[in-house]
Amino acid sequence: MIIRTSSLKKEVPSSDGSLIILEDINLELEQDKSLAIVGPSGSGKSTLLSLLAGLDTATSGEIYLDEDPLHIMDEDQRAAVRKEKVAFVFQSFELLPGLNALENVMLPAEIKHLPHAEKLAKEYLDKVGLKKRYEHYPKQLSGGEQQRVAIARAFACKAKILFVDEPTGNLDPKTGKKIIDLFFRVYEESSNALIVVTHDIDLAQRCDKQIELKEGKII
Amino acid sequence: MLFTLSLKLLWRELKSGQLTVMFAAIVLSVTSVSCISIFSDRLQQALFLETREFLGGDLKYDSNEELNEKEFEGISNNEVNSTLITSFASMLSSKNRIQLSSIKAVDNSYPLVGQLTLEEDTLQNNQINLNPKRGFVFIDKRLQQLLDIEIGDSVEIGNIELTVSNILLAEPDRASSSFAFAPKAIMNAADLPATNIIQPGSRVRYEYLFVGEKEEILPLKNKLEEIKKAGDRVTEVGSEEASVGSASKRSNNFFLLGGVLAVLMAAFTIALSAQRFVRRHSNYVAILRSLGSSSFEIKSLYVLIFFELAMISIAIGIGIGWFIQEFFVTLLKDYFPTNLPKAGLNPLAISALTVIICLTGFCLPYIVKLVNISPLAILRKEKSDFSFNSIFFTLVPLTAMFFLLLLYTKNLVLSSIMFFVIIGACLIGISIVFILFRKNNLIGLGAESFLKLAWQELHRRKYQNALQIIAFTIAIGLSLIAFSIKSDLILSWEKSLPDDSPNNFAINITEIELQPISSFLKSNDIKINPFYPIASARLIKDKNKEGLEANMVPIDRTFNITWTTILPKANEIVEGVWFDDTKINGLSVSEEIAQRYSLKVGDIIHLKTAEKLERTFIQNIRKVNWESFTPNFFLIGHPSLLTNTPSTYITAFYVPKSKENIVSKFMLEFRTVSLLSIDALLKQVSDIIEQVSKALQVILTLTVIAACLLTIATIQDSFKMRLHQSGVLRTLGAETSLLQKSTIIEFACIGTISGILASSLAQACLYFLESRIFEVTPTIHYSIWLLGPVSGLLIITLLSFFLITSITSKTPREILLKS
Repeated sequence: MIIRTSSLKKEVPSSDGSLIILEDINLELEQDKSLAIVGPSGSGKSTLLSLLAGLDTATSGEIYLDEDPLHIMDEDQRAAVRKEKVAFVFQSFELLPGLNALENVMLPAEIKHLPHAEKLAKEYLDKVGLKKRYEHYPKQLSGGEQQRVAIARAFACKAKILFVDEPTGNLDPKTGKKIIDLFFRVYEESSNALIVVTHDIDLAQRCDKQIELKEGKII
Repeated sequence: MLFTLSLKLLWRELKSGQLTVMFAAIVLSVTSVSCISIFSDRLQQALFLETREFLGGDLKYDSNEELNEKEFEGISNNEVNSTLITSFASMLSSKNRIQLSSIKAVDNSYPLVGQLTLEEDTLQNNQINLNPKRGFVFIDKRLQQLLDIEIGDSVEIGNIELTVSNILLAEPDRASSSFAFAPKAIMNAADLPATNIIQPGSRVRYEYLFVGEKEEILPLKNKLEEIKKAGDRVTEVGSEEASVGSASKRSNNFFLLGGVLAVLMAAFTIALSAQRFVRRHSNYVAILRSLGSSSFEIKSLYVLIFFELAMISIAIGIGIGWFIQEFFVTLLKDYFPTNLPKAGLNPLAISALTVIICLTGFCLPYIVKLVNISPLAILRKEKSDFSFNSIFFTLVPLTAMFFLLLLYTKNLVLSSIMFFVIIGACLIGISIVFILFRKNNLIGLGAESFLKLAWQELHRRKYQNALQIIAFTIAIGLSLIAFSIKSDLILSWEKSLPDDSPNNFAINITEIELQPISSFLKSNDIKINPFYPIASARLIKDKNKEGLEANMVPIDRTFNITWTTILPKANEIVEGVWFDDTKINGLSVSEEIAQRYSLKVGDIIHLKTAEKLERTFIQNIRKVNWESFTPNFFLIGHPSLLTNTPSTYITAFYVPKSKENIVSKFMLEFRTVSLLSIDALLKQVSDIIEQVSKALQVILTLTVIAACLLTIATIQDSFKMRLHQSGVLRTLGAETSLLQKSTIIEFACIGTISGILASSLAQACLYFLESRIFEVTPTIHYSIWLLGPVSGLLIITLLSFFLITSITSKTPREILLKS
């Protein structure tokens, strides 16, 4: 199993004491499989994705990512797991504005100390159709192009699992569809696991598995 | 409704801590300004009163000749009160002793301002502010001891005998008499003719004092200037200052400078905070505009917010400032002549004006930008619309900065020096950053190692880093200036007043007394200083010399001249050369005289003494330190010019407190010699220096707090921008140590560069301040060259460590959400 959780719970302090975001989440995902997490706004989808990727800590419960127990690790240990095994695509792209497209895609390879970071980055930028945009900075790119750079960065990680949060949320439907097609084309060439948070039914249906969250629980 | 909304928004900003730095900066600037301006206002008022008393009136006409009836009628004015003081030196004799004394004959209007303070045990009565009645005389304690008399005894003045009715303790018009160095007596002017002392050719000074409203005094002054004869002087209150006044004025300069540094840094902090405020409020504006609010309503809303903020800050700042200035007053109260008057409204106006200039110059441009920005651009998060790079955002704050400097220093030269030195340091800082971190060929962020990441960041962020370096340079540099003013400048001021500064001046020494006085001083273990001959001389510019301009000021004044071949201490030749016995020598004049009478080296001059008229030339011009407490002269001649000129001698010597009885012994042994003790004055000046130093510590603290606020605002701003990058790097698996080490290395470099630049800025400013404003010899301040880089490195590195730790202690999700 690439992902395994048991009785996962996330609670945050609020003016009324505490607010339960997620409760009793149990799920499993095999290597090479994809999972879509769907549900209405505020159901805890993005929080769950963050917990699974080791970006946030759970209040209780267990999370294993490729058998690494994230729930007992400190931040640096989780960072080491993310570096080796995890890649992300965010709704808001999260590109660094001071780096050009090529440098943004090189970033995970630099952190991983992978050789030929530049060559690898160019390869994936070419795959997402941005061959002529290496030197462009995020503010010089359209929303769709920025998301392509983010996708190239995610695949350039050579990660075991990809976490994707609302990848088309900031794009118009036409561009969104193009991005999804592109994403799955590149994804199918890799042997990664994939977890996608989305409102998009078409996108969810292209995944091997779907779960629906409502008020913090899997239904 | 707008008012309520503005209050709500302001309250929420203050409560959330988002406006804390800006609020603190405004309060701090008002505190600095109000405490200094209230204190300075009260001090100025007190000094004016003291100077008026020192002069004895609002206007003085000082002459060797009495005004004739016609002249006096010409200047008479019912609105102006006047009095005449006739001063001369004469021998007073008691039954057993005689003593050369300084005598003042006063009329019934005397004194016009201030009061005579008399010892209680008197014949007349024990009230103050009385004149000696006819047949009576007031004498001072020194004269009483020298004549060995008691109250009720008689003293002989000329042909008459007067009864000593009172012992004089203090008098106003201390600046009045040229015979003030001798033991003093005051008699009624009506007794003067009977004394027969004043004969044609007697050396007498007639001092007419006037008191009245300013509008009456000014025309009177002009009339007096018209009838003024050669050697006469017209002095208006304010044009003359006592040494204490000079010390206070200099301390006031220190305070103002310290204050303006604090205000400048607060202003820069306000600018940085305003930028953050604008970025934060862009969504409010977009929503308000989308909902149909007009530009006018939005402008009014933000003007109201900052108006309310200004009002609260002014109230709090003035409150704190008032307490601090009360502390200054408590520290220095023993050195003021009277209780300090209450402050006027001027300090309040200056404080309010400061806030207006700070907010207009350093905040308003950003608010204008906020109000004018397109709501669509904001909602689309087009960050490029939030660039503050236009000339507008440079010129407006620079203009405001210059106005602030001008407002406090009231000195165009000082303001310009500081302004251009700061601008120069900024430009140098930017150039250095761009030269050091010019474009490199490396690709990527450099996240492979912390050193590479730090190096790449220094290159990549050179624009932001240059701005940060400027802010840090200003913060550290201005703090170093304040520190140096507190330590080095005060020290150099103290040095100008060494412990063994002469505290007694012996005047009227005859040639035959030179040897006995030297022996007396030697036998009492008192250091002997040079004896300078003094004679009266008049300068006449040689009108036959070619090139003499028609409008040149004629030299019609009598000077005390000395002659020596050794350049006296506290004198420095600024033009020409000092006397050389192998050549023909001439005259040495002080800078002031050279300037006043347009004298240049090489000018031909006639020197007229009682004995002869000598044709000579100006050989050199001297800079004289008049505060050196040693005998100083406007004119020094080469001895060859003044051989056989009848003269008396002057010398100065230091008598330690343990040997005070030597002074009385000296006066008894050398009765014709006048001894002027300046112990009290010296103590007063050195005490003021000590107390000013304490008060400056408070100002220094305010300046350092302002520097801290500026540093925090700058680094906060920088980390706000780094937050997003840190979040992404953490998400991608970067270790804590990579982020921490690279940030520390990066800021250590920035801190060190800022520190070195700050030391250069401080040294340059101090050079100008020392040479132009404080009039001390400029020095290299070694301490600031060490303190600047070390404090820059440590403070900036530590701050960056705390901030990056606060980021890395959060989960990547929290960081990304926050950014």
